[in-house]
Amino acid sequence: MSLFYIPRRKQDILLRIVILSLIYVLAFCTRLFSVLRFESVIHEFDPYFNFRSAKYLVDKGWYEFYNWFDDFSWYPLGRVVGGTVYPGIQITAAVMYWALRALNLTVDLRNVCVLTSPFFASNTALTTYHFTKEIKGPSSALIAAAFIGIVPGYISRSVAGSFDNEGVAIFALLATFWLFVKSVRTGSLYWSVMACLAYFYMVNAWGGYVFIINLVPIYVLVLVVTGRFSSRLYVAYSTFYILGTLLAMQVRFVSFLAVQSSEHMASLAVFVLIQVVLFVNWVRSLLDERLFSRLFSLIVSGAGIAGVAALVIGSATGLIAPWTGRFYTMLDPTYAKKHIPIIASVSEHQPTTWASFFFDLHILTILFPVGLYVCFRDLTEASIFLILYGMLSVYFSGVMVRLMLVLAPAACMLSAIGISSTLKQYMRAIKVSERERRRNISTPSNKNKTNNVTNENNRSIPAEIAYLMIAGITFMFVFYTIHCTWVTSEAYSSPSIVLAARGHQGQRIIFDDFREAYYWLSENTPENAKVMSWWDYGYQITAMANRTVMVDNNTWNNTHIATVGRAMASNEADAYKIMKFLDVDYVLVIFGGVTGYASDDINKFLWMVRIGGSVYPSIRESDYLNNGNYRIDAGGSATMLDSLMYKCSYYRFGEMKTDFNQPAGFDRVRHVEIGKKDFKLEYVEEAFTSEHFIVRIFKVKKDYGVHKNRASVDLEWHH
Amino acid sequence: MANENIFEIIAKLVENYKKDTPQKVKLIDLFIVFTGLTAAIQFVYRVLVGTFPLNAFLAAFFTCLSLLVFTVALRKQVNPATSGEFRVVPERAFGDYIFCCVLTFFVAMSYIG
Amino acid sequence: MSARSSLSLLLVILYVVAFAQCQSDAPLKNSKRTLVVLDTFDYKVSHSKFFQQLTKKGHKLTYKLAFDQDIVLSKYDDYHFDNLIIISSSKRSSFGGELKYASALSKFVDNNAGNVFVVAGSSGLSKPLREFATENGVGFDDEGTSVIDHFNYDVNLDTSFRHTVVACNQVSQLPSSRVIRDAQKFVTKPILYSGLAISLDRHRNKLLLPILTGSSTSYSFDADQSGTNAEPSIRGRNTVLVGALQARNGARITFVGGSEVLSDKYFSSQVQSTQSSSGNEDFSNELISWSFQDRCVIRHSNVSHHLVVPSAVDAPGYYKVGELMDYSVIFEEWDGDSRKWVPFVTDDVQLELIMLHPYVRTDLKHVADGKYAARVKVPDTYGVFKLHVDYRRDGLSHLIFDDQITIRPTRIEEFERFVPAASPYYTIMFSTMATFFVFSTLFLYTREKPKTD
Repeated sequence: MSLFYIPRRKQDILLRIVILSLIYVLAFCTRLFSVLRFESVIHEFDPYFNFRSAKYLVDKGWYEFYNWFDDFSWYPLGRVVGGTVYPGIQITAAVMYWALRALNLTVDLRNVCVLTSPFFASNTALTTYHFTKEIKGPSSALIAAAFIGIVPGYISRSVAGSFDNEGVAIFALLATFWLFVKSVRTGSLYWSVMACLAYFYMVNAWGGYVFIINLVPIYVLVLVVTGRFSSRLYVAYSTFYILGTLLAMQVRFVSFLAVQSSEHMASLAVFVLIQVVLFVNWVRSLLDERLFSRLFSLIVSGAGIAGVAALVIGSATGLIAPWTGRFYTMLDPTYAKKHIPIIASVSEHQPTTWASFFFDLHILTILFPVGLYVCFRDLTEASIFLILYGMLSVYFSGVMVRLMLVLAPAACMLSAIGISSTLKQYMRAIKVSERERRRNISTPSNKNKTNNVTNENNRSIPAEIAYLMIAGITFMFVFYTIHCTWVTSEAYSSPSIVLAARGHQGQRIIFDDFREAYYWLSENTPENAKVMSWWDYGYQITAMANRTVMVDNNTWNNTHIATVGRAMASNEADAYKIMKFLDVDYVLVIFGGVTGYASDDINKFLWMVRIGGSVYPSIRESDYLNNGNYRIDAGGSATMLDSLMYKCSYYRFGEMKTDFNQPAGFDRVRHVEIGKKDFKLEYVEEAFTSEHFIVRIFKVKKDYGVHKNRASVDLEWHH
Repeated sequence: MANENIFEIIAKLVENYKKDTPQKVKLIDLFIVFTGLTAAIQFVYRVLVGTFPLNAFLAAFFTCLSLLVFTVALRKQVNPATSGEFRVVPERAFGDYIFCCVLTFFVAMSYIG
Repeated sequence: MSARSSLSLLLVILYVVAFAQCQSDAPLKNSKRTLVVLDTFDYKVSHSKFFQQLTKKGHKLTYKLAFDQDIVLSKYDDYHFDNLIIISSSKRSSFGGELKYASALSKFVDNNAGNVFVVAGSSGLSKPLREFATENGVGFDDEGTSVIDHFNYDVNLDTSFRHTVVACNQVSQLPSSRVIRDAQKFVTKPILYSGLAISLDRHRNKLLLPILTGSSTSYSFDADQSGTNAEPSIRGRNTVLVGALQARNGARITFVGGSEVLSDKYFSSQVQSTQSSSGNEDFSNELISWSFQDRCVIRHSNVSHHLVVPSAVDAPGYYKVGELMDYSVIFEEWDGDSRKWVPFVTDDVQLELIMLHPYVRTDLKHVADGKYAARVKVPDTYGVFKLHVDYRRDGLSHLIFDDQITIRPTRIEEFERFVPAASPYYTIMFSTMATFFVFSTLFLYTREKPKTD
């Protein structure tokens, strides 16, 4: 027996290590559903660009990547990728790839990219453990790590295959927070610098670093205002701001914005404030009270006036750039819908519904306030930070669905703290009652004395209630796990590039149309062919079909997207003019009418009209609606039925019978029979339609009307 | 005594300072003043001349500021009067300080060009 | 065994021959297969000199009657003929075979780049041809009308004294100087013409060009009617006697308002006013050499562009903003007589750098032997640009071509690293580092003064 005897403290550590490793492995494995069901393929749209740039980085090296001017997308404007990308995830994937190669493990880059996110999700669980340990203690930390390992809000953006910025950014976010809180608690320069380095990684990884650079100053401000200013705080924050900003400027995308844009002004203001506070405290320590208060009033008034003046002058002269649209939407959610349709059209930017809160967080939504209460009750500097983080992320996640991701770690930590303290109470109650029972059994004579003592101490929760509560909590955890796994399996594990459905005999049908079409494009079109499609598919086309596209998901040039939208919405003759102007060779549309695939271009068409109409007033949304209704059946408006998008989607669809008890030309997404069935295409011709009609590619006729030059088709496009 | 003007306040300040602070801390203070002055000079220069090599300005300015901050931190941690809040040993503090400053120099040197 | 091998040998030979055909670099295929569609075979006699001119130029003529049901232009998209001449007279005449619809002619031009030569007959123009002409913006006047000029007429051939035979002897009546070269000689040898008037709607169709127009005193009217108050719709210089359309793919469609201008009678007649022979033969010679792409066909070759100062980092086709680039191209013209490409010299070619809109426009100067060159400073905006040359002139085939180049922004390491203006910052930086070093050594080795209290 003595061989297996482990002292109590070591038992603790062993248990912790075992649990942590289990969580680590679990977090990784639960994200592998899509790899097991389909294949190791990159999902969605944005990850394709990250994959392509990671490939570029690996193939050509750092200098080429840093200076990369991409002439394949945004034809003919090109895109300076080196300066408009957050390179964190590409660098991470490249480093891992090179490390594995150096160990002579020849792994394909695609597999490294696919599995980057789950790997970093496991690391996030570890970081959450450390962070919560800083705040509360190891038991809450373990629960927090367990929660965040499987919480659906985080899984949605970090499944295997989702090679997107958020995968590594959340890890960097939590690491920065942990290190910062640690530096505030210890006041050591070393931890502050570590926090700065983690912040640097975060700036490299995601545009959401703005959240950190605003949350931390708010936290410092709160501490100062509530009278918890200390030199440790000063050391931690000043270092963080100075070194952090210096490091943030190293990223090309940020460069001088770190000192010039409004999003960073809060941190500067708090930095100045904290210097002032420190100075004031120092002076106070050297003088006595009365003299000090006179000096103080002089200084404060002078500084206040100077600060306000500087801010006003800076904003007025334009030295300080105003808030960009993307972040302004957070403060005023209706701003984007009115002014910038592109931001409003992204489905991830819509406000969150209650259902998504519950769907993504399950029991954490209920346990979140409990954690808040516990944090308030045992108020320390670290718990104030967690409170602030929780509250701010709740607000922002209400504005945009995409930011549920930022709420998830906060919710996990707060819930863990809450449930852990609750559990502790009941566990203690059980332990005490056990001890009491043992004591009652062993020394009945001392019953009176000990009874009084124990009664005072533990508020007498009977053991049965404790057991009941613990069982209840265990059930909750079990349900949480079941829910999370079910959500991961059903909702968040589909690679949007491969669709699956069930046939009537229950067999699985795979729709691989996208890759089929991109492969066709890459094999059957000339190398410098230019493809026009809606911006959703731009990244995929450049990455998989290797052809030049007009617009892609980066959406940096609104006018260009509006031109494409106008081309899609105009009739064939006008669209031909625009396509000649842009040198388009092929038009690609996504059509879901045969399979029932609901995110096709006809459903997105109104956004094309809105975005086109925001730049070209001749495109009016009302022209495409019939009495305010968007219809494509016989009651659809004439402009709608004449548009290039309609014609391309429904070319020869009128001959097709999609359902045995519906007429030919029945659209299975809109559930109506289409309005115009027999029409011929004059200026484009059909080049390729995929197996289930999901992707349709049309070739633009280059020499239309060789000898005809009708005035109605004026081939020189005048704006 | 209620109407002491500002000069007398400052004189009192200086006297207290000379009396209470140890030698090392005075040295640190000297360094702080030096970096502070340098930072101020730079800022004035930039306001006068314009922002052309903005990265050079930012690199040098931030270096000075960061040295300032680190030195103040070091002062706090080394000065026996104030180091009670910290949980680090003064030697460790100095080691951290060197590390941070060297790191800053690295970053700034790469950025200044 | 032997049958199979001989069959395969035959196939190989056929393949080689076909392959060799494709390799010829004449603008048309080596043989000029021309289909001549006539209303009656009388035209073979009355226009014998015209057909002789054609044969001398290398055309292989196939004669068919208009209503012949087995007129076959193409089989499985392979066209049997390169050129098509149609001489048709009355509007009642119908076409047989593939020519029944006007669209056949359009397809012939579009898909085959074949030249079409339409001649209206002595009494009008048949319906499908009229449709074809109207499609292209060419309007023939009604049946029964003819061009009348009371000041420039010829009496030798005009039996009715209604001045329907016009003599064209002014240089301004031959506006396309490339099509009919040396128009001066027709002053002394006028061109005699009688037939319908054509109106070219040059606003609707920019590809049209008039070859022979009437003088300012000519008009088109019904020759039988006299003394009416109606105004002629086609009059003056707008009266086009021979017009053409230069299609974008190089094909040429020629419309002749009357077949008499090409007949033997008119070739050999004497003009009363100038007492000389008519210039119709020369005119016909020039016309058919242009109409069937023996002349005025230009092409480009050997486009080359590169940096003036070669760069170590850029691949070919990649330029940095603001750099100098050399561009050169060779223009050649087809000479039908010597059957080879000769250098084409002109002074009005322009080169444009276009990215949605032109950023740079410069002249391409002729250097030597048909080679044009220019030195261009690449614009300061980065992007994907086209080196675009657009040379379209009346009478010449269209020459529009572009090459794609990429203009990249300056790389980070190409910016100056150390700027002299920033030297105070550098000094401050180094001084700070030095002070830091000094300070830290001092700090380490300062001994605390014992507190005197």
